[in-house]
Amino acid sequence: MIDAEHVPEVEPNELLARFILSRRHIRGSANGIKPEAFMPHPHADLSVTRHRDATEDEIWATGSAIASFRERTLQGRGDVIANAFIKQDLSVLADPLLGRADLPDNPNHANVTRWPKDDKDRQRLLALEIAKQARLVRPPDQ
Amino acid sequence: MSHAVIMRGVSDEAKDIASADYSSRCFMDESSAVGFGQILRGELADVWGECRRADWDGYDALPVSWRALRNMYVFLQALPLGFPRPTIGADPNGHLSVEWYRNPRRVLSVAVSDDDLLHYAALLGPNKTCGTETFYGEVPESILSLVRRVYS
Repeated sequence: MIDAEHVPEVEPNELLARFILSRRHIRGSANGIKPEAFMPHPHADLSVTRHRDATEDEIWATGSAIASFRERTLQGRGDVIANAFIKQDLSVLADPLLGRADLPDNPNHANVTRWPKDDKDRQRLLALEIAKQARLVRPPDQ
Repeated sequence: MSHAVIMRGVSDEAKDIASADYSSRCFMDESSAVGFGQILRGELADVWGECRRADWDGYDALPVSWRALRNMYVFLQALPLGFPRPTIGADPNGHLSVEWYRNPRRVLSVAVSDDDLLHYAALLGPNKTCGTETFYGEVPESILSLVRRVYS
């Protein structure tokens, strides 16, 4: 995982993971991710985890910790390159989570910011564009 | 042309036509050849069961309201017979949504809100669009046209 003392900025070619905690966000037959998985509401930002300096096991351990913390089943993750967000005029900012009571530690955490706040149509379109480039990865035990 | 679920005529003749049309619609809708009412109602019940509580997505989603459920039911009933079957989902803002998906580049997503609005976005190959329509009980022609374009 990233050294929490030296967290680099997110680069456009970095791979990011959005952990999926509801099966409603996964398409059945087409095996893809629905755009709703990338809508930040009710938060202003979308929470993602950077693959940078993390092994596959560490990425899944992070997802499992989040799912366990939220008392949900980890359904999978959507892997998408940071540039997919940046090309939509969104920003991806490193936001390491450490020592917070309300969230598990995650030095690889990042936020996707600058979502159009009150424009639901535009948010939906951005989510479609991002889902188009996302790859669904199922947990190893599924 | 969308099937009107909400009857606007007030004469006896209008009521008779609406009644006959509704009976015919119900019969056709349950036919596996042209209707998907039963499948969609089952799917809608599943989504409602999962998403009517707050935080159903693990990221603090708002619960889907009764009114959003009612509006989605009316929306599904208003789809033309023989139309491509959508899948039903939910938004983290408490709206229900339908999706017509052909591939990642040809897809239409429509949210049916509890305030009688339809929020839509579509990717249509190299083109994309989004917008809002007011929902009066009929599926607007603009949305029906987008569905056709997804599959054209």
